[in-house]
Amino acid sequence: MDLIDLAIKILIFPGLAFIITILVFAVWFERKMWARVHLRIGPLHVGKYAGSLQLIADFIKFAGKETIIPSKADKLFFQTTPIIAVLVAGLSMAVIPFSENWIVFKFDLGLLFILAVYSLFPIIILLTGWASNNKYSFIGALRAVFQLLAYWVPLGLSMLGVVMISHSLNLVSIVNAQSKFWFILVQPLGFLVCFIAALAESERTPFDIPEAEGEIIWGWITEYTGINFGLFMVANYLRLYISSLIITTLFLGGWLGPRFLPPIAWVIIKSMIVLTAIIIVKTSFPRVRMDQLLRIGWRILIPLAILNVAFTLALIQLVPSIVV
Amino acid sequence: MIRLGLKNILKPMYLATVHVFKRRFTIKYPYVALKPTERTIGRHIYYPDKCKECGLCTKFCPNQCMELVEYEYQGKKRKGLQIDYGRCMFCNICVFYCPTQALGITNAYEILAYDKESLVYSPLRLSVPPETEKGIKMVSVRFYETRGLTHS
Repeated sequence: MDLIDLAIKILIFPGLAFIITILVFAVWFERKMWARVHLRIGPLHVGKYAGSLQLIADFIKFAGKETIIPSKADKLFFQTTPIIAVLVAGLSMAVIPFSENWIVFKFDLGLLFILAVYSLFPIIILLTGWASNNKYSFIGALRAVFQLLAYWVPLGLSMLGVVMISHSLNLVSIVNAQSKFWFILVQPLGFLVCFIAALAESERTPFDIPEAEGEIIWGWITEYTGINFGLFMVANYLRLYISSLIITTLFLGGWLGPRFLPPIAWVIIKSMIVLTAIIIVKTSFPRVRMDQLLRIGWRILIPLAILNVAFTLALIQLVPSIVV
Repeated sequence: MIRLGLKNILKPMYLATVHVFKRRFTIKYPYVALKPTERTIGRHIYYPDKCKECGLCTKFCPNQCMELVEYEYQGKKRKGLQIDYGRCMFCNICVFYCPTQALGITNAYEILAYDKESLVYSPLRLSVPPETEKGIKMVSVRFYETRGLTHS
């Protein structure tokens, strides 16, 4: 019984089938919103309703294309990194709770696990860029590593405030601790830092210099074609969606909400709202420069995150009742 | 500086959010008819009663797509204008060189055919107004106040 439960969770609900469905929807939603901001229509023809199956068509197109491996590339790493990227990106899904019971892996150190998974991406990206044996890929990979390392610190520090209030690294307990109030109310600074750091961690537009298409073609994915490119896109969107899920869980009360909708629906709705905010940010800002990016990361976000920790300490001292 | 930064960060986000709810600019053209503007130049309309067969339009046509051909009009044999829309670039010169205003412009922008031959419009076909589809109507184009030939 336990095994069947686990299999259902891994294969269907918070696992594989759900991830694929939500990715198709999220990418469609992003392209539609993006088009709306530009006063365009966006995907229209594929699918019954307003191009809703566009991503599936795109993926079939990617799958049908030729896989080109450069002759000087490191073949082993060149071919394995797309799969590793998707697997690692999907790992975080295991500890994100969709309700009290809908979680693949109940784990006391869920938040630490997520941070550890985040810290794996620089290695994969550097490996990819190096294996491609192409200057654009290598420059893109270096940029990505700079960026991910610089923003991993504020991401972790901004989550520290939540941990201090909820006294737990377990995501289920963190959500349960928000039954009185969502943590965005007592951690606005932490939310802001976490949001910006999550944007940078998932290489979204104001911080998309690792794949800056005007400068270094497509960054560390330059040499990839066909299904491998598609897999990297899947990994990137998965990272994006998981970032919004983590923000939802930590600051927006996870599955908590009025009773008329099931808890799972609340998680999805809240994460879609976070995704909308990310899309709005994507459409509004130009790409930052490398030096600006590092300055924002090291000189602004980390002091802000430390300030947030100090603020939380003061809050706990002054109002002990907020600690659960 | 903080105020400037906030302005630079919040204003674009506000504008982008407002744009989400605005009316979209793109028209789904094959499904929705394009609205012709006042200055849309579509196919011509030819009034054989006004035409005096001077042939000025054929001489001034930059693409030489016009021709005077013989045809039968109300039982009489006479010359009339024939236009090859495969070559016409809708410059409208013929219309304002016509001394008797026997040529006009309509808003019918959809001139489609499966072969080149059916793009050649005979005088009789030109004299019939285009089908009055949704949003398509005849307009009087007034690019210049005076029409006809002028000498400098």
